[in-house]
Amino acid sequence: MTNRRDFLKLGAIAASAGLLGSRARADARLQSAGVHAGPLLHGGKDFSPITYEERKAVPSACYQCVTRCPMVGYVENGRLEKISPQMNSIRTEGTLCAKAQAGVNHVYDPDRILYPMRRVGKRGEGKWKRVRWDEALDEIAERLKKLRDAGTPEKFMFHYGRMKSSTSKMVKSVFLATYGTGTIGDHTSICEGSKWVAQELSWGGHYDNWDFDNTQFILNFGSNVFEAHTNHTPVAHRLARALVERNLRMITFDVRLSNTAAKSSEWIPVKPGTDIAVILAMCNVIVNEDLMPVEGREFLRFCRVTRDVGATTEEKIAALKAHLAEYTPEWAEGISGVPAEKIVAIARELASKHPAAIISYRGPITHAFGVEAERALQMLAAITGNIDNPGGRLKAVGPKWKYPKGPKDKPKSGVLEVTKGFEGQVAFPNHHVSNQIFDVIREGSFGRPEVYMWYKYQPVYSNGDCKANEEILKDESILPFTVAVTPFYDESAALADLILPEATYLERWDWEDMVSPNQVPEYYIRQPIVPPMGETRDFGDVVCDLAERMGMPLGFKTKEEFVRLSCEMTPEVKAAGGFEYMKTHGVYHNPQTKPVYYSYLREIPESDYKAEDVIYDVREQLYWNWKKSKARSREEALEKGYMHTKNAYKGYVGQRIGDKVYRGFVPDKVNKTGYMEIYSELMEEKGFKPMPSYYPIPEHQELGKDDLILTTFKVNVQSHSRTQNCKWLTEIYHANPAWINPETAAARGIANGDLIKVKSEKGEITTKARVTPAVVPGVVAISNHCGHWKYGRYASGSAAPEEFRLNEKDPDLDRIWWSDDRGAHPNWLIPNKPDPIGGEQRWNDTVVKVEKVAAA
Amino acid sequence: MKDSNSKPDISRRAFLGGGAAVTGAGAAAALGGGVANSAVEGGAKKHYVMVIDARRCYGVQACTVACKAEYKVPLGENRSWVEEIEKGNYPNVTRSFLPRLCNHCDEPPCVPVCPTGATFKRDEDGIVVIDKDVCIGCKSCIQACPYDQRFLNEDTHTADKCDFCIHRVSQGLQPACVEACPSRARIFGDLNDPDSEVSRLIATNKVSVLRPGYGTEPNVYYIGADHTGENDHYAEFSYVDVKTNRRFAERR
Amino acid sequence: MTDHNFWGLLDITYIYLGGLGVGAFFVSAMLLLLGRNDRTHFTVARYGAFLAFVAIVAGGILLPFELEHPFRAWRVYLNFAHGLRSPMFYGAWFLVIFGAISFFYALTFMRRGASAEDDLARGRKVLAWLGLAFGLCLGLYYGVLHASLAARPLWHSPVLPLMFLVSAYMSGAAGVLFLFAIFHRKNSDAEVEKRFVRRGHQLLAWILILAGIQAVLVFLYVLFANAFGSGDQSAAIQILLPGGAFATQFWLWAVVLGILVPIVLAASFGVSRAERAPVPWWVAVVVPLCVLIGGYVMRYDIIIAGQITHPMGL
Repeated sequence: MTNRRDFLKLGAIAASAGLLGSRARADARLQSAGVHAGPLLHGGKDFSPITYEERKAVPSACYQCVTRCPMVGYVENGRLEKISPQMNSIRTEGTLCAKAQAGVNHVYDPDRILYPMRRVGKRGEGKWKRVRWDEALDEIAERLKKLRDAGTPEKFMFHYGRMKSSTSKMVKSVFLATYGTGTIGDHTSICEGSKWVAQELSWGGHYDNWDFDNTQFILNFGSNVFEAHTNHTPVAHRLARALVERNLRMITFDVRLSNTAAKSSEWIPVKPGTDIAVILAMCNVIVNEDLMPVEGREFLRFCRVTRDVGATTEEKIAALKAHLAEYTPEWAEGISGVPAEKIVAIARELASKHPAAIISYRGPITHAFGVEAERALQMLAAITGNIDNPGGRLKAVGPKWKYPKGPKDKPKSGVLEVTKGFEGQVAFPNHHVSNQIFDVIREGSFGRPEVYMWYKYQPVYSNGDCKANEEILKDESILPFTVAVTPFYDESAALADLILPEATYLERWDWEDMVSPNQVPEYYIRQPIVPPMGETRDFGDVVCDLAERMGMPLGFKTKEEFVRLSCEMTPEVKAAGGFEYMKTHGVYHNPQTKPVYYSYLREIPESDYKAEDVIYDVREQLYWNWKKSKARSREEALEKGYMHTKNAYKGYVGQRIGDKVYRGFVPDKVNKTGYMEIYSELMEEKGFKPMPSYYPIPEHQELGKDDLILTTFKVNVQSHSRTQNCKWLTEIYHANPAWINPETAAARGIANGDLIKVKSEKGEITTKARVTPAVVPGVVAISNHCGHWKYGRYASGSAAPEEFRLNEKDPDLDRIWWSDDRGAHPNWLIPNKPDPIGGEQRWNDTVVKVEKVAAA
Repeated sequence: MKDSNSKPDISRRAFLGGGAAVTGAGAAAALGGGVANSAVEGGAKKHYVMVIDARRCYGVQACTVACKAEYKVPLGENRSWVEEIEKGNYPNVTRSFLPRLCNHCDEPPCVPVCPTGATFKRDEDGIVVIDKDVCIGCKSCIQACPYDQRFLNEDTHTADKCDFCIHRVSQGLQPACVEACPSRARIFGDLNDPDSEVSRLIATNKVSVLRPGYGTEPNVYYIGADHTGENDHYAEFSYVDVKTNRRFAERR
Repeated sequence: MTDHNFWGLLDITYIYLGGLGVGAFFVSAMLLLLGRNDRTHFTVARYGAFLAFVAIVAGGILLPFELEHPFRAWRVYLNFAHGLRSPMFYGAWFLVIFGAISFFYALTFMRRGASAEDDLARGRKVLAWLGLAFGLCLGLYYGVLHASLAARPLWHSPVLPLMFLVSAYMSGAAGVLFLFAIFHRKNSDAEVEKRFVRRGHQLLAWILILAGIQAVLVFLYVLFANAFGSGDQSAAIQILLPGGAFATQFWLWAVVLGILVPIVLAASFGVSRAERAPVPWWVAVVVPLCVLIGGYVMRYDIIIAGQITHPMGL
């Protein structure tokens, strides 16, 4: 048999005879590419596929979502070519998701804006003129100075969507505080506000971390950790590893078969907003069948289950039994549609497997009374002993950066109370009611800002009721002057008076501090991989500039300086080599640090709780420093007590349990005790039941024959509103057909692919039907990423104004093949209604009607 | 399905041989066959294969985008992607993920059809490559691939496909998709090395290859893959939906 | 549906014209070689020679446009090292060789006063034999190019090359008959004219025979795919069967119009009246048109549908 070599020889001979075209004219690199002898590395280097030359590596941090994974950007000829995992990160362990890698698209988005833009036509008309930064900042500074001089700095409202770590400290803690406005909005309530509130009511501050590396069983209520999560890839890749390598069982309750449900051992469909019934029934089974594992019984010592903080374990169990008695599995079946025997079986399995990670996210939370679902889950984790233990539900740890605080003398900030919803609407607006801000401003009784500036935020697109958002943002009588800080011409920026072009996250500095899935904090930074394009600027630099113009220098001139100073001020980072080390390596963790578990068990030394200004609250049996609260005197503090002194939680020192004082579960935002509070006196005082309880969702109680419940969800390759300009992501996911169960579809004569109309009290959208058994009957599920009407040509087909945009030659613009179906945005349908306890936007409660428009 | 690293013993259909002979390529057939095996016979150092552990894949598309970024693949085409297979009857519904890429077959149907020799299987490592300076763009190889892996690159105007990231692999790095996969579902290595992870995985797991009936002898092995096709009908359920997220979704 | 086909209208037209050239040459050569050295055979053979050359040149002009890098096409011809298993390597050579033969062959008919007995007669016959052989290769190549691709189950059939070949011959015969009908002027010599009438009937008879063979081949093609082919092939053939996306087109245009109508017309006006009257003018036009259109649609359907259908499962 003649082999290829002989052919080649034949060819060579023939070529020398001038007869054949040999491979000599061929791509030389393909010929010379040798075979590497050693093992192949998983990263740390990168080569051009064209020239085979090595590229320059710049360690930095992703910002496609709040997870903010460390990563490495690779640069060739001054161009960011690729984003790769940071192999030295203990959080990501050298992994990244699709979104992270598509970050390259932000920098070279042909529709990113490069110059400050000043509106010239009517607001929203789309007529702009280019202004110099000087002009733009002078105008803002003048307006802000005027407000400050008039004694109303609070009429400058700053509203951010995603602002974390150093940017948050610089802008919020330093710049805005030095200026004197406390009218600062965020977006947590359209994210997971009620989850944080529930945690603040039970174990103190967020985040919760799930210890998949050490767990034996995973029970998931409505978290789609494989597709979207606040700590997505760092946690998700550990979950995948646990499921395959340790063959763990995982059970997922969800309205729809998410990818997480799909990778679980079992998907258990549940009706929207009824997870809480299942959770309570599981608690019922575990308590009534006396299945509480010994770890759970022991943990009860650190739980508050009755009004009396000193109750014995037996009393606590009795209280649990009494409270849970009505929540039987049969009752839960009637509400949730989950068979009672299934609930019993899973409850028993959970009780028998320790440790177990009990996890949740937006599924159970984004409903009326969503706080209760998360509190119930905390209870389930507590009684099974799965709180803050290896393998359980943990209090997450992140790095503690030190940073320059700016000028010492800061004025007392004024506040327009527009961020916490209407009076009495939300019991615990700890994380604001941001979805209601526009309504409150329009209503006007808390005053209206004269300058409304937003940063990394998309008020029009991201909140419910897009129509109203657009109306309000357009209305100069409601918001007389608006400034958008953004790299992109999105739906909201299009309605601004002034647009300040921001550098993308790949062109700027930050120190970063997201929590670690392995309970060991990791310090990391973001640095410019390429210089900011055009006239775009890091907003951190802009606020320094703005402060100078207002005659209130902040003590540093750039974000880079702020980050450098922070590196030198933070002991662990300084010891590692400070700023220079971080620039070279990107990430740092102290190899000596042990994972943090059982933080509540730390005993407080007597010197701490007997210190000056620390007083003992007899009723709550805890020590606190009255001076850190708003109490005017020690006497007042003692008289009012811990519970009723404003900001008393800030002075919390420790909880006396038995004869010891423990760190316990440190309160945050509310004056709860140092116990893990299953029983919440705070809830009781607001007129709710103190123990986690079921409250029916009003709109779902009397559904008409045609009514369906709208559920929204996220997919793995898009963030809610900010990634659709990334062509590599939008190519994968650009249309969001409505998932509808075959039974539900058949009743409406709808077949797969049909055009349908979805109507709610707020409006209607037209989209395609995806008829699939992967969703509960009676529900229509629409992801919330599509249907942009601005945000550039990849996202919407609508270009940014030509004279301001990058205008890079991008042949892919002519290859957009999804122009005929860019999906529909469900937020047009969803009213801005908050959870009455936590203020969370009730994304998944909307009642809609669905009808067929045209056959496929 | 394969149970070990032994090659599946699938002979081509007799009439295919007949069809080939009609070309007058009977002579070539007598000479042929050497191309595929030469990587081993020629004393090559490596036999690169990829093992895809579908159990680990959670469909996050990191590989898809990593590959796009690596090669700036024009919109509308992919060198690698992840398919989703959803099937069942409510509430017993499953969804599984199937990462796809060139199989770098031992019997690559794309190589012999090439009229210029632009595409060939490298002796030294078994990677099937395309020489972009030689390809005339006749599209024969695109038609010949039973895995729809080849496409016409609108930028280079040549056939294009996965090349196991030869610029990385030849310089000591894992392929881009392997580096990118957050769940380590893609494992790449040398099958000639009995101690390599791929050798170990293939030896100790039930592995399968795609469309074994085509006799292509793929070098991409799957663990726990769902081979259901859109048109497969099962007695116990009627719903099968295969999503590829590619422009031409029906092609696999 | 057809916007993602790597081989599209250009390729189909090229293959069609190539087939027409091969077929026209076949008819011309057969007339020349089988016919007595008679003026009527020679005249009709000339139509075929010219048509063959024009068609093959027209097809050849299209060919580079199908390549993304036409200026690299020379690489194909020099690729003896790697091309021996590539149908296209052979196809490229067959095309050039056949093109050259048909050029010289047509040239021999071009001389003023060219006749069956002139001094080029011998060379012309040699060229005819050579052209028959290479035409057969080229005609088969068009089918083999597709049929050899296992990845395209609709194409992957041993019958396909024969279908394309027979269709090529049919088109050739139809094309020559058409030219004959258009260009032939009634001869004053009644005896000669009678022989010309017979040539018309002869061409019609060939069409009839070839169409009959083609009908059988279509039947075998469907049968092979359905009964003897793999699951992939039987799944793919559904696109041509009742209910399939290409069924109406294929059966109505390629089979009924392109095969059955010619059979009926040829049988009614050709064979049955062979000795009585000339082929009616409209039959001599309509039959070729049916054959030519049907042949084009047949190639179009199979080439496009073959790229839409694909292997099942994974």
